[in-house]
Amino acid sequence: MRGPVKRSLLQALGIILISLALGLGVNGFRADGIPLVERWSEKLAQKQQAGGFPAVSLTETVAAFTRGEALFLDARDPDFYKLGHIPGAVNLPVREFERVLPELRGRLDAAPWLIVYCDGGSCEASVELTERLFLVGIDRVSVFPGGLQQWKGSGQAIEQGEGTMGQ
Amino acid sequence: MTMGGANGRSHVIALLTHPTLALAARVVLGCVFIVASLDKIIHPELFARAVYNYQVLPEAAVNFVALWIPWLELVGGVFLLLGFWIPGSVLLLTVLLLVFLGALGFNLARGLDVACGCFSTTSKDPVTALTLLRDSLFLVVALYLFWFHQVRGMEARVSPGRLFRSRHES
Repeated sequence: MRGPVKRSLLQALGIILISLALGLGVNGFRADGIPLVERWSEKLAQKQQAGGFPAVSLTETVAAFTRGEALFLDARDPDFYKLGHIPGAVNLPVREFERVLPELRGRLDAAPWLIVYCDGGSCEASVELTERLFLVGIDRVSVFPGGLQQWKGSGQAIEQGEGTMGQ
Repeated sequence: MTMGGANGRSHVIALLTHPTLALAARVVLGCVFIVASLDKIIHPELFARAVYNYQVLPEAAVNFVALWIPWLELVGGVFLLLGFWIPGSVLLLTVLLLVFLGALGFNLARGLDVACGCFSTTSKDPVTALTLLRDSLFLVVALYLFWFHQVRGMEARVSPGRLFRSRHES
């Protein structure tokens, strides 16, 4: 290869490597960095399902559950809650929001993160509940659009009965 | 050439080979790329979404490309502005403009209404025929620099743009 051509290509390669190192390096250090690989179609579908609120996937939900990072909120009516819910989840029926909220307020405020769910599929209670929580100033909330359907479908444990307060 | 005659022709060549014109082109193109990179670097998630919306890349490559391209623009633009590694920077930015034009033209042709994500990551930055025209103008500048620093540089080995450091001194 002729000298100048080779030099241009080497310089271009150098710039490619420098920019790669900077791009990936800065992303690794910054707090709002993004994952290197993301399933965008799934993420956007979830976001739409979650009515624009932050959404979590099944994987993220299971991880949060295993590590005890989040308090789960079941947005369905108490009858459904008693039939089966995510273990440890608190029942905050969206229809009885005003009545039940005061009982739970302390726990909700103390929790670092809340994950709200309902049946899954096309249920709307989780999004409605999240909206109402935001309106009363509780905003560390994510919606799990997959809901109980996806939770059960992946073989995760279910808890039955009265469970935790907030009936 | 419309001017005709050896005299008019030599004037044009004198203009095109003038170091000041090449310097001006370098400053303009360098600044364009630097400015274009900033908002994308500040908002990686929004830019990744814009890249995804283009629907020209496999999903798994979207974030990687979105993290890399803005820095390529920034480093290339800064080098061009400073006169460091000019031939390599010009080559890269020319290729980058060709890729951008290809992606823009492709989506315009298939009627996909996507945000440009060119100078900002907001969705109020639609792709129109004007966007293509704008990028084509940048491409003309880039190709001119390519000619000035690579083709012509190879023939004459003269030093363009002495105001900044140049790699053609040897």
